[in-house]
Amino acid sequence: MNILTRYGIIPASTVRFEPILLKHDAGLMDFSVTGATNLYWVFPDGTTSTAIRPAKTVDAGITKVYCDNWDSPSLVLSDNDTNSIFTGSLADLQGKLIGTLYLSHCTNVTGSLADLQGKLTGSLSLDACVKVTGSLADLQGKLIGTLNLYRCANITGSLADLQGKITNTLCLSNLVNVHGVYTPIGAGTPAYTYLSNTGLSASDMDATLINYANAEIPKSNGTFTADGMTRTSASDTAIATLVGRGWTVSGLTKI
Amino acid sequence: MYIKLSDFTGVLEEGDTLLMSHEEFLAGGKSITGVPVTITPDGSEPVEIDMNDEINRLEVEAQT
Repeated sequence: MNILTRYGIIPASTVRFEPILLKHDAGLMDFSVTGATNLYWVFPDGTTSTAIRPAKTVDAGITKVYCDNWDSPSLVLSDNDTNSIFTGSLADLQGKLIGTLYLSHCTNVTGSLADLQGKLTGSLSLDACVKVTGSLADLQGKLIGTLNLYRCANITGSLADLQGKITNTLCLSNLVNVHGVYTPIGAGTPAYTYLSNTGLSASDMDATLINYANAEIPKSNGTFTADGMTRTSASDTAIATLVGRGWTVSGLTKI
Repeated sequence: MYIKLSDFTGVLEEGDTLLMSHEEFLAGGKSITGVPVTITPDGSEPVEIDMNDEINRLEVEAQT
């Protein structure tokens, strides 16, 4: 409890945590927050909203978003169709989020994965956030849902840095500086995997396929897409095992 | 486009992918080198996934 509330200086209902500041150009500010309590938006023109997704047309400026539980693992902050008018930085989030963050198509967002402070435990999608930098290691291996960094060409790192927890979608296509081997831990086999045009070597690819096939908790009916990538005979058996479980394995060239 | 293993002449046009079933993979398809290959359980073409649609799906899923 906030100290001001504890001593009755101000009522609990009016106490809000520090806001997240969303810097944007003029246009549709279409962010949403689901799973929040006492959600409260303050737009640059001074108007406010308590809607989950206000879909407000705004002037350039900063929208302040308040809620009492930024630290909820079920909270989801999404830009929806805000896209390129969002001009903020991942650093503006101040490492408050531990749930899920979707900023797909926010082509002007800046910052590093390190700015998320390794706290996200749900999902992260930064598709086409081409200015974002950082390493997969910055995520500290906590994500368990989806990791989509499609077209974030500045991202580096090893699949091993993810620590094998992704269960839904792993999309790192076009990240030429990402390499290494993914090893599922427990249920951590992604149902949908996209590793096209990445920095994985043929031996990285072999080892990843073998690890998927030998996962502690086998997954059925998945998709593994790796256009422009190579593998060797070392992964023949793994592919046979996966496709036998209903998987589709696409795009690999055997060398 | 996808070229079925039964129609494969040994050469693919640029952008083409060789398509085979699990059974065909086990029966020798796994030995083919130098061309991109897609393997599906029954040899049918996989459903092409548009990444924008995929991202929208994920965002909607996260909010429901």
